[in-house]
Order: sequence, then structure tokens, then C-alpha cells
Amino acid sequence: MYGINPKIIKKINSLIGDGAPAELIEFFSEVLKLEAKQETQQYATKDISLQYKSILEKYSQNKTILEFIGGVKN
Amino acid sequence: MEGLKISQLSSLKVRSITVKNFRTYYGEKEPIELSVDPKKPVTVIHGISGRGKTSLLNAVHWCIYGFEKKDKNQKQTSSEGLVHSYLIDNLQPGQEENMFVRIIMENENGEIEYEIEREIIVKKISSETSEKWNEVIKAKIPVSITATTGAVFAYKDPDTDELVRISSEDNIKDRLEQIFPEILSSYVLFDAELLRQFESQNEDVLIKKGIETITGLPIVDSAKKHIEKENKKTTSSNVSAKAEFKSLQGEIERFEKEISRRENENKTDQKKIDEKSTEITELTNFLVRHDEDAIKKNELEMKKIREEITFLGESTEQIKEDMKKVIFENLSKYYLRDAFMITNEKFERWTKEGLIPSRFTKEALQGLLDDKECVCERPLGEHDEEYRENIVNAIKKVYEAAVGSEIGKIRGVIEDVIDETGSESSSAFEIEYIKYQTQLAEARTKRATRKSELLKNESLFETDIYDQVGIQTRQRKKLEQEVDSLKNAINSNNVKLNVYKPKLIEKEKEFNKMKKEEIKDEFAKNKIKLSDYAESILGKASEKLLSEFKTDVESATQEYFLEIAPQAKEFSGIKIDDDNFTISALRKNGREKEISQGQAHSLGLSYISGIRTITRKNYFMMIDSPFHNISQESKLLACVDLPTKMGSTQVTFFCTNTEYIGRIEEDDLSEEIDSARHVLKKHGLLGCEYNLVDEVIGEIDGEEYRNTNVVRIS
Repeated sequence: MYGINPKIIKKINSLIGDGAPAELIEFFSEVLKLEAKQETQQYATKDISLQYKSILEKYSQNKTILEFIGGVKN
Repeated sequence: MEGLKISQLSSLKVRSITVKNFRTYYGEKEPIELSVDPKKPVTVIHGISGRGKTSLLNAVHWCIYGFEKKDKNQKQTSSEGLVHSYLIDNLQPGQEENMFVRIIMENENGEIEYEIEREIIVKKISSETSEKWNEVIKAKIPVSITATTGAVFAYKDPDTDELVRISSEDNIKDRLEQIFPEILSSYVLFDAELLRQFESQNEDVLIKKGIETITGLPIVDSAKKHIEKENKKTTSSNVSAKAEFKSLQGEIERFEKEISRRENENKTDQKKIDEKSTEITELTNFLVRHDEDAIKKNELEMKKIREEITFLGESTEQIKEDMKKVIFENLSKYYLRDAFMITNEKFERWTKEGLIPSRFTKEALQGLLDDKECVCERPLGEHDEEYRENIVNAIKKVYEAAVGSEIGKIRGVIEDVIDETGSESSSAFEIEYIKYQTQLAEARTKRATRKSELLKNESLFETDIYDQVGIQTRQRKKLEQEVDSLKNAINSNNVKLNVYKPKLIEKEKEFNKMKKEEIKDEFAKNKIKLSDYAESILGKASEKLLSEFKTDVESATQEYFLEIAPQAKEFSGIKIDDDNFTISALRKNGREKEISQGQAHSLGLSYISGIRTITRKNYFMMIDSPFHNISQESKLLACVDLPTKMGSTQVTFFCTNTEYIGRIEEDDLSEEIDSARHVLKKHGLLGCEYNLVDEVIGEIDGEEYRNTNVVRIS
């Protein structure tokens, strides 16, 4: 993932575990990409909030993700 | 699943630097192209001192940040400003000119990632000649010249891969601050002479913050914060028992606030305690040195010293008196010596000639007449008249002899003086005089030493020492009371924290339970579920990564340091402080000894190289005076190790000709050691090299104007 420290990505991978569904990985990928883009794009607070809302709404309806995180004890 | 895709570490290299009228660089120069070849990552820009190496590094800093790297030694009176003075001094009324620096940066695929151009436009609006400090140009220039700044920033849009150009100053500042936080410059653009900055924490270099920033950790924290915010919004807008829920949420917020306030208070108080404790230690040391026994002992000591000084003063006077005597008592003799020599020679001559009668005592002959008897004790009779007459005649002669005798005595004295002032005795006299001189010098030195001892003691134990001890004792007591009160405040906060923290956990549990029960809407429930999960993952990642980063940096730094440091075998390793990330070298057997300049330089370079293992991007590196203050051998190790150990990091060295080209014999016995240039070439690391040369471009009122040219060598 461009612009993100590979060590951060490795750590997140290890925390979500090997069995994590592709959609969950995609979710984190989008979140981190959004943060990396924020550096040059400088979204307004309202815009970034909207983007987070949209990412969360999109992935929270995914059954595979919900099943996976439902079985994980935080 | 394999998890998030890990691409190679993205790199950021400077493709070119173009300067126009920046400091010593007059006119627009050809772009200085730096090596972007990962196999030959080194570019060297060298020149003799004062040619503009540091100016070029400053040009890069100024272009990115809008100001040059902080130089505390830079004086406001300096005549050389950011804009070449020949341009300023030749501006005609109504004329407008500009100075700019342009940097093009590329990524690991050779695509332009950023382009930054910053300029200053100067315009002469009148012929007024009086001068004033100009904050834009950073120099004293005629008030008739105006200076305005501008900048253009272009970045590759991550979605379209197109370059997007922006030119509003404020917007550029924010974006550049995000991409190149100022703190990054300590690790990217730095002066190797300042490498010791990592050994201690100061306000200018917040090492820990710098490291956190360049690893990209703030991205994780920021993502967590954004999700948290969204989570709260979803929760509060979907809960059915709004009042109850809000009250619980309010309680949690109050606990959080209270905990954070008390924890911050504790931190501040602890800092105060540390400061006061240092002060208390200093006062205690003073009071230990000045307790009653110590004062009395010192008073006795001072009395003794004073007496000694008086005695030495008297001795000095006595020696001076003795010296005077030696001189004056002998001086007359020496003064008369030549005259005596002549007189004595005369006497000798007269004696030989019979002009001076031989010695005889008249008293003996008079005795013969007075006693009226002969020397054989026979009485002198009338018939001895002739004999008597002979005696009278003899007495007459005796008077003459007496004169001779006196002269003999005088000669004796003269001969004595001549003997005493002969070369043997004058050497003895000189020895005696030197002995007195030595004694005098010794006495004077001893007296001066004693006097300074006395002064030192007097300053330590001033006349009002008892008052001072009293003041310091009261001060210490006051500080101790303050420390106690701060400790009490911390304890009291801790008591509260011990209550609040479990309560907060309890309330959070209650809140989460209520969330589950109250939020009926499945859609919101799921969103909250994912948010909670993401918050937890990002929180854990941030927490664990910082300590892992520290461990990684520590091990990489240690490896470099033990390889390149002069006398590396004296060390067992390095240590990074947990609180502020300052670095120190550990000596074998725990011996405490200040490290040398060369070792400190290697430590700083190793630290920067170590930090490179955890940065979010493989940033270019530009180092001014990289080989300053280190031995030739360490220099060669550093110039090979730095670029090779750091993978394909683009490295630009700004160094003097001597540092770069010079071959040095470390001592008379050792063989000549290669130059840095030769070593870089031998290892195939040198991509480009430039030489800075200067020329005179004009003269105004006897003042020469110089211009630096950048000549590409290879």
C-alpha cells in the first residue's frame, strides 16, 4: 500500500490474524489509504467525516466481516 | 487470506535542484541533477570552504519549509541575504527581478511525486538609499526595494496519477507540513556538525516526536480518532433511551476528562518535584560543605593561611634585604677592582725597584733605645755612643720602613679585594645572588598560592556565611515542604484515579451493554460493531508499534555504531532512552567516560541510519560536512556503510575538497589512506559529483561580487 509504512501494515495484519476475510482487509486498506491521501488532499473535517461514514456503512453490512469480528474477542 | 498487501517501501528522491539568485548563486543555474540510480545512490557536491555548500542545502530547506535551517549563529547584521547582493545592488528604480529554488522529487518508479518552487520577487520602487533589515530577504537592503514571496506546489494525485498544481501559500504550507513535517528535517537534511543533538533532549529537537512522525504512526492514530468520532455519532443518534444513555455517556466523558486532568496534573507535579529535588540536592551539598564543624575548620584553616601569608611576606622582605646587601656590599669592591689592580701593579714595580723599603718595626728599635740595653740584654753604656747614633739613624730609616709597612698593609687589602672580586669569587657571588632570587620567587609563588586559597575559601565561606547557611536551610526546608505537598497532591490524585479508573471501566461496560440493548437498528448496530473492532485493532497497533520501532532502531543503530565508531571495541552497545528517545553509547564494564567528538559523530550517523529502518518512506538524505571531525578511516567506513546499509536511499554529501579528495597519512608509519572519492568510486556508489567554483562577476565601490557555479564532474 503506497505511502503507508510496511511495518504498520504488517502489524495490522498480525492483529487481525491470518483467517481475516478479504473484505475486512479491504476495509483497513481503505481507511489507511484515506489517511495517506489526506496528506496531500487536505480534506475538510466535514468531508473526511463523510468519507469515514461511507466506509463504515459499506463494510459494516458485510456478513463475512460481521461473522468474523463477532467471533473475535477484543 | 494474506492480509493487507505490503508493497515495497516507497522511496522519495530528489531528481533535481534548480537555483536562481539564491545567496551566492547568481543567475539561473542549470538544474543540479542528483543520482536517482539505486545502485549508485551517492551524489557529492564539493568545494573549498565558503563556496556555498551549506547555502545549497539551505536552499532545499528554504524551498520545502519557507525558511532556512535554524542557525543560531546567524547574525541580523549579515550583509548577505537570501537574494544575491549583486542583484539587489544593481536594481534600477522600476525594475523587478526574482530569486527561486525549484526541487523535483520522484518516487521509486521514477515518476514525479512532488515539485516545489518557492520564489522571492524583488522590486525597486524609488531611489531611496537608506537601508533597513528586511525579514523576507534576511538582510539589510535599501528601503526602496520591496520583497514578496510566492510558491507553487505540485503533487501526484493518488487517484489519477496526474500532477496537481496549487499555488495558494497557506494551502501549500499545510500540505507540505503534512508531507515533510519540520521535525523530519533533522533526519533528512542535516548538518553533521550537529549530530550530537540526539544525545540530549532539548526544545528544538523533540526526538521521540520526530521518530513517531517519520514512521507514519500518526496515520494510525488519526484513523482511530476518526472512527471513534463516527462511532460516537452513530451511537448517540440510534439509542432509544436517549436521556439515560446521554447521562451515561456524559458520566463517561466526565470520568475520562477527570482522569486525563488528574494524570496531566500528576505529570506536571512530577516534573516540578524533579526540578525541586535537583535544587534540594544542590542546597544539601552546600549545607554539607558549610555545616558548623566545616565552618570552624575553615576559619582555622584561613587563620593559618593568613599567618602563613604574613610570614611569607616578611620572608620576602628579608630576602630582598639580603639581596640588597649582597649587591651593595660587593658593588664597591667591584667598582674599585680595576683601580686597585693598577695600584697593586705599581706597588710591585716600586718594590722591585727598591723605592719602597722593606718592612721593619720602628717600635722594636725605639724599645732598644728606651730600654737602654742591647738586643742581647747587655746594658748600653756611654761608650756605646756611636752605637746609639747608629740606632737613631736606624730609627730614621725605621720611619721610612713604617711607611713601607703601611703601604704593605694597603697592598694586602688591595690584594684581598682583587682576590675577592676574581672570577672564582664572582661566580660564588653570582650563585649566592641566584639562590636569593630563587628563594624570593618561591616565597612569592607560595604567597600568591596561599592568597588565592584564601580568596577561594573566603568566597566559599563569606563573612555572612552563618546568615547564608540560615537562608539556604530555610530555602531547603521550604522546597522540601513544597515537594511533600506536590507528593501529597499526586497521592491524592492517585487515590481518586484508583476510584475513577475502575468506575470508568464499569461505566463503559454499562454503556456497551446499553448500546447492545438499546440500539435496535441492526444497521447502526453493525456499524458500531465494526467501529469498535477497528478502534481496538488500530489502538493496539499504535501502542505496540512504538515500542517495536524503538527496539528495531536500537538494534540497527548498535550494529552501525559498533562497525564505524573510532575505537568501537571500547563499547558494548548503545541505549535509547525510553522516555525521550535520546541516545547514549554504552562502554564496556559500565565505565563512565565522555565519548570523543569522532565517536559522537559516528553515534549520530548510526542513529540516523537506524531510524531509517522504520521510516514510512525511504526519504532522500542530504548531509552537510558528513566527514567533519572523524578520522580518515572512519570517514571511509561511513561513506561506504551509510549508502550500502540504508538500501537504496539516495544520499547527497556536501563536503570540502579536503574531506572528499584528500588522501591522508594517519601517522608517519602508516600507509597513505585512500580518499573518500576513490573509495566511493571503487565501491561503485558514486552516481554524480559536482564541484563548486566561484568567479568575480563585478565590482561596485571597490566591493567585489562573487558568483558560485556548479560544475558537473561526472
